[in-house]
Amino acid sequence: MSRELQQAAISQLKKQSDLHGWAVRRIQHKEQQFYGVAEKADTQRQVLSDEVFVDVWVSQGQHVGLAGKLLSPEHDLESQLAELRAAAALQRNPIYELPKPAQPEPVKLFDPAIERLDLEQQATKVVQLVDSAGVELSSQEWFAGVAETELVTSTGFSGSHKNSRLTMELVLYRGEHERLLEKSYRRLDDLPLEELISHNAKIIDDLPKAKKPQAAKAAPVILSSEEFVSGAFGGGLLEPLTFHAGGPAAYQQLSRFKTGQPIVEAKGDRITLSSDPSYVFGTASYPFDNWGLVPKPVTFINDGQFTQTVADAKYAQYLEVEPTGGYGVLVLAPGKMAESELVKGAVYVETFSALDVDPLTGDFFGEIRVGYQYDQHGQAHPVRGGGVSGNLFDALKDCRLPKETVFQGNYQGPKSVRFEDVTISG
Amino acid sequence: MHDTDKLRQVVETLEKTGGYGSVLLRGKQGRRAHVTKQEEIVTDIPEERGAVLSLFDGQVFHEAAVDSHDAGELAKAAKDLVAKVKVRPGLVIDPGPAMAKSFETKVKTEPDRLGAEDILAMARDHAELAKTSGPLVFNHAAAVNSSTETMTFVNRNKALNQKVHRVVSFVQLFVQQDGETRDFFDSKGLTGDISGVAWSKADLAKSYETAASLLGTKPPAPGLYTIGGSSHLSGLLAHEGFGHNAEIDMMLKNRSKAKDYLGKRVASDLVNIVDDPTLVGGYGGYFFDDDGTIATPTTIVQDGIFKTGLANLSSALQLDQPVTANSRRESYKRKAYARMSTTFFKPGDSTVADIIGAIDDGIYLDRFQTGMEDPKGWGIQIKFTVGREVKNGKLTGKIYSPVGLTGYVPDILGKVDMVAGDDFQTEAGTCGKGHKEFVPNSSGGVSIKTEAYLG
Repeated sequence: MSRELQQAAISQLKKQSDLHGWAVRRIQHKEQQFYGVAEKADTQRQVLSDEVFVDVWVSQGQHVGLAGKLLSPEHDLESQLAELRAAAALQRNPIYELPKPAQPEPVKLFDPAIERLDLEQQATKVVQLVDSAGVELSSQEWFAGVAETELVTSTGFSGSHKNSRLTMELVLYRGEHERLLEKSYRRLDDLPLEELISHNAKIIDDLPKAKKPQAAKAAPVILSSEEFVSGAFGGGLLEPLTFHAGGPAAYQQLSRFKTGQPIVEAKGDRITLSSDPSYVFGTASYPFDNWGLVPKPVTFINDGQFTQTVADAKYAQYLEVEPTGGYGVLVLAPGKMAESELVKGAVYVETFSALDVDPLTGDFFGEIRVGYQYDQHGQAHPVRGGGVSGNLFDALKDCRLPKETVFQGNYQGPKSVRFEDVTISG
Repeated sequence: MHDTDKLRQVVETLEKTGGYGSVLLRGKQGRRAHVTKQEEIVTDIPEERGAVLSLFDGQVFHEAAVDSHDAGELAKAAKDLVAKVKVRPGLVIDPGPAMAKSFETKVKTEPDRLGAEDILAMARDHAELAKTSGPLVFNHAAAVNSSTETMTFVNRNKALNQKVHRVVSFVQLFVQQDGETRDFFDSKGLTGDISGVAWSKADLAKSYETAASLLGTKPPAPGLYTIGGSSHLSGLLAHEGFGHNAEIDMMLKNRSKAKDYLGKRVASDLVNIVDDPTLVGGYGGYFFDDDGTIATPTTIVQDGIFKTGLANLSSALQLDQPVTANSRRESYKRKAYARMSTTFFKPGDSTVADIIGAIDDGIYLDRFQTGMEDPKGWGIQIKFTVGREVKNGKLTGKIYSPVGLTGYVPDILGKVDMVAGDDFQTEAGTCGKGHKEFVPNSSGGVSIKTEAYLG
């Protein structure tokens, strides 16, 4: 039915030549879900959806408005499109054009192994691995989905792509202590399941010995890359950088970055940060955006200097900069030192309860769920509780990045970062 | 309204297996407007339209989720589901008493009659108030969101329908002085009429005063403090501090320490915490939950004693606990879990003035930004925008910001020695189960006094 709805919407919109633009997007999604409690299955689900979304732009003189909706097959198409036109006509934004049509480069995002994955077998494998690691399984959740997206726009753009996604949430525990593991990848082989379980079983072994860290107004702290890009409350530790480098912040005059200027006066490592929408099997990769823009990889902070605004078609026109598309996989260049050297004398935060980061000010705060206090010889003592707070822009003035790197689906880069002056509350 | 007979036929198809079956139709639609200094948007909110067919085989729930309310498509999905499931000996679900009811949030203006122009006009008014609220404002944003959530639940005995109207609006002020930029976010949300989330000039004057007071502020020195706090503190303690502990699916997974404290003391005897989906106007409210359980209040903590957990059907069945109306799912695409609705600290006998007057040297906390639970370890983290310094029982005017609160929940709740009765209110928000599964939610209560680590 959605095929017919999609075709009917395109056909009707093509007849409305007075529209400034339109885009019709169809997404077919199929997902298997498995929820287990301890060693048993609790719920098994299959989710099927086939949905058509429409955006329309209406211009009046030098103003334009945009309205979008999920089309309902149960309601009259003509009146749904008329409603969209009416909503778009109310808005008085400076005019911009939809992106010129381009041929998207194929980006590898689909792994048939995820489509074929038997989640019951996967769950059984987890039970065995957890048992071998000497801990207990609290719960496991698996989501294995495949989505196919087709986009047609008024500019003549036409494209489609297929992607897969495997998301996992495991909770391991022993006695009073647990570890929550959340991972999401587009390729099955990217999930280091055995390594994750054994690493976290080791942490659970350490937790009974954990103490609160010593409070300090300014102390060296290392943050693991786990919450660099996606956090419980948004974009993670790097979000202030992507916020200030992004088109919306620049257009709203909220950005603190100036092209060609250092983002901070750094006396430690100067960072190089890129967005790569074509990163193979990246969970943030995409061959084209919802308006048909083919995105470009861009290094927006190079050796500590802000080089380029990351902007979609609208903000690129508003700001008169090159359109890059929105962010893809964030790639942070590694440092030169071994992490084993960087940890000396610092508190290494493995996980926060939830890292809270203010994208505007750069202030961050989180309760330490698990960490290690390293002495000057590299000996580690587990810590938990207490809070870590600081400001990313201040912290970047004196930071070190290790040479060891990880791939986390939406991030590729150093395993951690060391900040010299961060507050620890006991 | 859907054809109950056809949906009941779908249930019959599911139950021909010998298991328990139910059908849940979910829908959400509405509009939102967002106005900033430079741009404005008015559009539909992300819509939901789908169904969940559930079949319990005695041990495991099997669900088919489809993006349709069409009875023919649901009948086909039911046949496909039945073909995959074999019922086994195990637990038996009571479908509840025979019941056919329909519910709807009371409103003056039907949300269906609110056009895009009405929502946009309201957001523009709020943006204008924000823009002119004070001389240091250099940028601003205002948004209004009106949504209607519909649910139809049918099993062999029940046929329930509900329409819940949720409205929320926010304003955000960006203030700037001497090269420093700070922002302050303020929101109103409720189930009810859109007029309840309108902002006045006086509201914005208060927001501006707070925004301007944040310029030049720093967090407090790390340490243990005597604290007071508004409903933003007590609500987050009720929600993050104990509410998540009380979700019994977390007990089933051995993820909540509260499992061992049912009937035992977890707080001072001044502490009373309630979850109430029926609280009039509560943004997290509803009339029945995703398992078709009619909403009623649940006393979680009474006089400091942990009384009752919050349950979804599946977990209550396995733990042999009472079912409460707390089964909620993010959308038809997700499973239902035990979730809170509107969770709050009940009023006590003190006043806000008493609480501030009783603090010799401490901080009065207001305006939470975020919070996170830790049911297994009973830790908590909350971030506040505003910490007001109190010396010798008086506010000094000095502001700390941001302020992070951490601690061990029984310590914080155990040291509650004053609870106000004169400033009850709830705040609208969104709650996740861990880091996902977001549902509309509210928390609140009254001012309290206790101790906690700040930094």
